[in-house]
Amino acid sequence: MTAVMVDGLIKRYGGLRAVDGVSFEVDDGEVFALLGPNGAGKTTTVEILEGFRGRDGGQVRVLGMDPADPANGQRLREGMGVVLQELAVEPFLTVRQALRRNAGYYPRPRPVDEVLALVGLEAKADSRIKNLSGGQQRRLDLGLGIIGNPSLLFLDEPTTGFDPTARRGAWDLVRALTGGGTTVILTTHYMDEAEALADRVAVINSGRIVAEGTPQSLGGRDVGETRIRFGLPPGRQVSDLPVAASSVTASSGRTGTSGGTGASGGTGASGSGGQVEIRSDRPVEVLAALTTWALREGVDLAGLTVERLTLEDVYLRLTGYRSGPGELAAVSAEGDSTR
Amino acid sequence: MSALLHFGRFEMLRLIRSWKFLLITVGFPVTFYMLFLGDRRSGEVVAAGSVTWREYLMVAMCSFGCLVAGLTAGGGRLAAERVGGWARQLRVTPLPTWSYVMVKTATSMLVMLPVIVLVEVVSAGFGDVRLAAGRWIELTLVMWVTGLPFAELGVLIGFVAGVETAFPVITALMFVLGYFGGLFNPVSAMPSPLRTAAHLLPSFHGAAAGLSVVNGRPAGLSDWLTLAGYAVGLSALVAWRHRTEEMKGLA
Repeated sequence: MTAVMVDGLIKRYGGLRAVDGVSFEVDDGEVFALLGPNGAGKTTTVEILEGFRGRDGGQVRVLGMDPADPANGQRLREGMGVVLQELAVEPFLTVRQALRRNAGYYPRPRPVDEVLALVGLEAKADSRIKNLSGGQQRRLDLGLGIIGNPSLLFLDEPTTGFDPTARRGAWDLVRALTGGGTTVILTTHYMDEAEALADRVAVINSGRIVAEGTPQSLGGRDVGETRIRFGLPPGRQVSDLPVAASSVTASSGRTGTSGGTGASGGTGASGSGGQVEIRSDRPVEVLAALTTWALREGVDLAGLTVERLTLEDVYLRLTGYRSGPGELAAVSAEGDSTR
Repeated sequence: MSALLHFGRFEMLRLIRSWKFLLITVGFPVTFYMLFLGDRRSGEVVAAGSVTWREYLMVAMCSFGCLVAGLTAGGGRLAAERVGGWARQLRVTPLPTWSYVMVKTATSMLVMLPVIVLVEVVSAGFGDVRLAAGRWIELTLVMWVTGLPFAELGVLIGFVAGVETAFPVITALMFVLGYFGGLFNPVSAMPSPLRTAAHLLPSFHGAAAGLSVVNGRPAGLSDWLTLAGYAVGLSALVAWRHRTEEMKGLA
């Protein structure tokens, strides 16, 4: 069954179309991640789904209901959980009391002790909330999001501010929940988080979905180019290589010296050690040519790595990020000096 | 309904935990009573129906105490809660928001009860005010009911004002409603335009209702009608504010 259906969603703020024809579907039990830069329309979209914002066009169904219809408000909120981005400051209640209080609003809540265990706050159950650390308060927010035993959970940047251990803990919690059939809509800035948790990812930019797919295949990541990186062998020029480099950067602290190396005629420029990057959609051929050349010449390709584009690379490309002039300048400078 | 009671139970717990707030709110009006009583403990008559200053001040401080309790318990605490994020935390739950409003109003009303009783106790013990047992009970109930518009006003401020604006607004209202409503000095001692203006204020009519009880008469119809008008008008404003906010997102 479909937990969430969005078709041609439009939201205007004055003349601006904050959400401009967004469509997607989320199946029961699926983890769906919405990625996008700040101001792209993520939060607006999610708030429309949660029933806290009206829409100007399009169809929306959440758990089979139209969230814009106030008559559905009660039933919708019984079926959904929302983990808010900012932590709430409650000076008077303990962790257990806050969970018990919120549990009382739902028809079929999870047992408070079960939630305490799930979010790892058993030891803090009887502490006042104001005495919790930032990470512990975020885990309580997570606990409050799931206390009502929701079939649909909204996670808005759930691990912002977590230390690495707490993040893994939160991920394990989300996996445990989805193992139990909970549908999750996740917004995040962390690509590794989307990759670790999401079954499907949509990238939203300027109010439109610019790509959608599994984290492995997003933006043609699975069939797209591969990145090969290694250190330029001592005494060799980029022009000596059997294949064309996409970019070359000098080793740390020596960015300004590449021109000088070229001027000295490339004679024994020992240890110049620039980092070479080659992007190719035919990595096998490139690697074969490179390694054959290295073996024949008797040199090493230090730190040779072969990578697919990361989700972050794809994301940056989809959201229109252009790398700064530094990298391009390095390539052209090197190109001039070797020809 | 059970969610409402459940929520109310935890609000009571939160109220008791904030004992510093309670101490100040309850202690404030009785302190004022003793300070203002000064050397006018004698039976100086200050209002119609041979009401003495010590009786007048008792009713005025009951009214002022309700005003302070309503504005701070509703306005101040609610504004702080909304800024702190707990109001949003509640909005994402199935708890209907009207029950939030109701419980907050009820909480303010609950704070008013000990305020009134304490002022009465001090008036009897320290100010030598003498009333029949039935009168005391009637006065307590009347003063309590006249606190309703103040409780609603507090909740409205909590909804409309941010945490920075809530406190200046509360302070201004305490002064305007307190002073011009005749809670610090009898209205009869004011210049005529102010006397007319006082008749527009709920604080004036609240105190007037209490003074009627002290005089052994039922509170006047115009007092009850004005207070009811305020109560209905303010709840309409809260409901309207509530609806406009509902679909404006969580941020």
